[in-house]
Amino acid sequence: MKKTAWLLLSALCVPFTPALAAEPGAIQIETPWARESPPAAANGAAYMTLVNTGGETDHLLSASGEVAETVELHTHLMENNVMKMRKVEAIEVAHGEPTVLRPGGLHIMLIGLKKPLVAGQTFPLTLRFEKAGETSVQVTVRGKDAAAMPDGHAHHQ
Amino acid sequence: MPRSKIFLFLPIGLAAFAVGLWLSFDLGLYPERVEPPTIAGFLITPPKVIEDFTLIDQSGQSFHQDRWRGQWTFLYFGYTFCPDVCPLTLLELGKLQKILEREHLDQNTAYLFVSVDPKRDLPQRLGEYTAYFNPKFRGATGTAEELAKLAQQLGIYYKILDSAADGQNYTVDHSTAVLLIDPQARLRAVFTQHSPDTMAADFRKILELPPQ
Ligand SMILES: [Cu+2]
Repeated sequence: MKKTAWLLLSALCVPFTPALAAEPGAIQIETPWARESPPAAANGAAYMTLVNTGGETDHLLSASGEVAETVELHTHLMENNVMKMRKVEAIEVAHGEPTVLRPGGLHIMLIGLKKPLVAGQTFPLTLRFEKAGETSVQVTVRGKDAAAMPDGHAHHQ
Repeated sequence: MPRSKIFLFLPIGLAAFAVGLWLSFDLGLYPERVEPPTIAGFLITPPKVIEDFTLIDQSGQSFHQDRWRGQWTFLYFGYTFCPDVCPLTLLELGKLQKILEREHLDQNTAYLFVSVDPKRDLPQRLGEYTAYFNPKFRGATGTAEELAKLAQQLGIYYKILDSAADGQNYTVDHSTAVLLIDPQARLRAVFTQHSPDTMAADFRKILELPPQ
């Protein structure tokens, strides 16, 4: 009897989790966003903050979506003022330290956009984590003047 | 002098010398050295002369070095398939243009985006792309040889990683520096930090220098 009450109570709580945070298992995904496409731009990038609320290190293994022909996990390496963009096999999400995907760093690369990204619109991406499994997020497209860190997470850097 | 005394006086002498040196710096006894202004970027003195080149501008016309003469040009090398570093830098340059315009320092400036990816960045594409960031921006590209020759003279590195199976989805490693070309078409400064305020401050200082 008591057990049922608890289940009921926890079910009631679910709708009250913050709207920004989709929760696949122990990974919270905060403010997924992308910058609108300049005209003629064929590629884009999506950013977000991944927070591991569980105890174990997890990994983002892949991202997919209809928005582009190919979706890959990428990082940027800055060496002697030369920017090198590279594909990565996985993005580690350790407990305690949020993993920030942001311009000039880790990002979800959208190769061959099927349509330009328009400010104000959203598009879905499916993220697959090693432990937390699959989850879908809605990525918000921001205008060209969107700050690099629009959600005030600059202190995580 | 006995050996033991040398060991006694040597440290005292050294210490006195060090104090004297420190005082002379600290009290400003050294004559002031003539130094170029401190800018956040790198000032090239004397400005570096660049050999003529032939690029293709956004309207498909030849773009020779002559077009740099008579004005200051902020120059950036990149490619439009670049998802965030190039757009970010162009956004910063767009803000720089607004700052300079507000300060009436913009009458004699130009902004040029040179694509090092001529295979995919056709001239027309460059026009649409650069205008989005700022109406004053222009785009250009060129043959692989001309681009390499120009970039090398300007200290710009780039490498096309053309290994993708379909030959289309490749990325390009490239220097992120913004260059400043002077009205004599010479390389005058290199900015490695792209904060618009920092670049504007540097440009103001450079304008105040006696002509080189
Ligand atoms: Cu990328």
